Amino acid sequence: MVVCIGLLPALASAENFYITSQAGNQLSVFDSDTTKIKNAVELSSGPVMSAIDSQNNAIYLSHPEQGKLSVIDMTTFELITEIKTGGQPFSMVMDSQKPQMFVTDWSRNAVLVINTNSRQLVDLLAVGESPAGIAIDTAGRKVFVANRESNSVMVLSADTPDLFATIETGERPYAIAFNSHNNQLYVTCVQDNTLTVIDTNTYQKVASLNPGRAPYGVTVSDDGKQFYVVNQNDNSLVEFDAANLQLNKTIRTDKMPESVIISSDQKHAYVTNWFSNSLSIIDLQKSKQTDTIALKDGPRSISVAR
Amino acid sequence: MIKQLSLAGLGLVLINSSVWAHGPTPQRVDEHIVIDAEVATVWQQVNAFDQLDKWHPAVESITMQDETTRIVKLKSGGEITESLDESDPERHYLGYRLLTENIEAMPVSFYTIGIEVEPSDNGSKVSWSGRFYRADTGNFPPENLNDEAAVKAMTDYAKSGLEGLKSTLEK
Repeated sequence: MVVCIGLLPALASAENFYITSQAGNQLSVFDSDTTKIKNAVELSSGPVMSAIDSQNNAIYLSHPEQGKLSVIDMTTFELITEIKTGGQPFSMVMDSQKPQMFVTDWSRNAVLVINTNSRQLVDLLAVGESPAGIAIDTAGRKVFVANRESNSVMVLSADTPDLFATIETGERPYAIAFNSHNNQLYVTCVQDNTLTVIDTNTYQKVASLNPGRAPYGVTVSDDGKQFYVVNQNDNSLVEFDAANLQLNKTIRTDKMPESVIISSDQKHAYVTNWFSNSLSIIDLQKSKQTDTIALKDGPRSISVAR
Repeated sequence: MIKQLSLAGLGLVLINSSVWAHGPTPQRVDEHIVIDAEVATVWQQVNAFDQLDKWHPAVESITMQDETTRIVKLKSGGEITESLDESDPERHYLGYRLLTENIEAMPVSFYTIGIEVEPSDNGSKVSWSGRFYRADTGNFPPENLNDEAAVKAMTDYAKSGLEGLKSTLEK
């Protein structure tokens, strides 16, 4: 790492993004500097979500249909280990304050706690039905879980097996993103095409927005001033102003966008398109898709180490 | 061992509807056909959400539950309920989703379908595409409820629908 320091300023905008292809059993590493896939890693069957453990230089992949997680070395891309969880592990979120990770288990209505040093399942917490998206407030020590079949978000303690609150959302909450700048939570609700905004201090629903049809992935810009949603049935990315909750812009993507992430310089959005098997490169200043990169079959999640 | 959290104050709204599953791998249908007819003519037929039985050979009858919800009675037996999401006359795009599943009639647990009509050299190109999940979303589905069964059913249904649309409009 030390030898790289001299190069860092020139490469400040270069980031690696990690994309899973569920049907193609692949992890693709997208280099935002060259805009190419620089590594294509063959994985065990059906990877869906990913989470990066920067401290241990590892990336976790969930394989719900196999009831397991795989752990891959981020330098060699070799399999470090597999964690047999049972159930259907789905979304994961890393705790940057403690060596632990939280995983939703779709079929057991639970959140799994994984120790990221021992790489063992250490706890199983009951939540609502079919938990999907998960997010964390590391400073406030709260974990947020979207219970898809219960139409609710649960707030759990990140340190003890306590439930702080249950908040009703729109219908079929799926993905979830936490904005640490204003302590708001954004929850996409696939069935009624809404986005529920929750104040995580008061646990109150503060707004219900209309991002588009079948809103899926949601993410927040690093400065917390905007958040972004992809609409699977509209083939679009929308940007909201986090201060006034107004929709700023709508940008066309490829077919059936699944997940979205924003570059750290906030100039680009990257969107995985499930149906088109592609990655949209979106210029946020020009408000349009400027390029598209082919991906292996069934791209789902995209993540980055920050 | 599952630790029971305090569930007091849990204001759950229970809705009797299909369980949308995201654990299993979503499957796709992507079929198209070229029809010797104007886009406007094809679109008029496709867009009539309550008249699927006029052209889909697998459909016995349609009953509208409300303006955007149709109950599709299949010739093979059984009913499925579909809900209209979008009808875009500019794009000539119709989008709908499965509202109430019936895995005996159609071995899928959820789907969204889009039918789009575009101009082509020989008239109109109609595409039928969508995303769906197998009927048994657990990790050990029996053969009749697995991914292959779902793909076959959805593909056959799309193909016969497109062929039925073609033969109806080219009469």
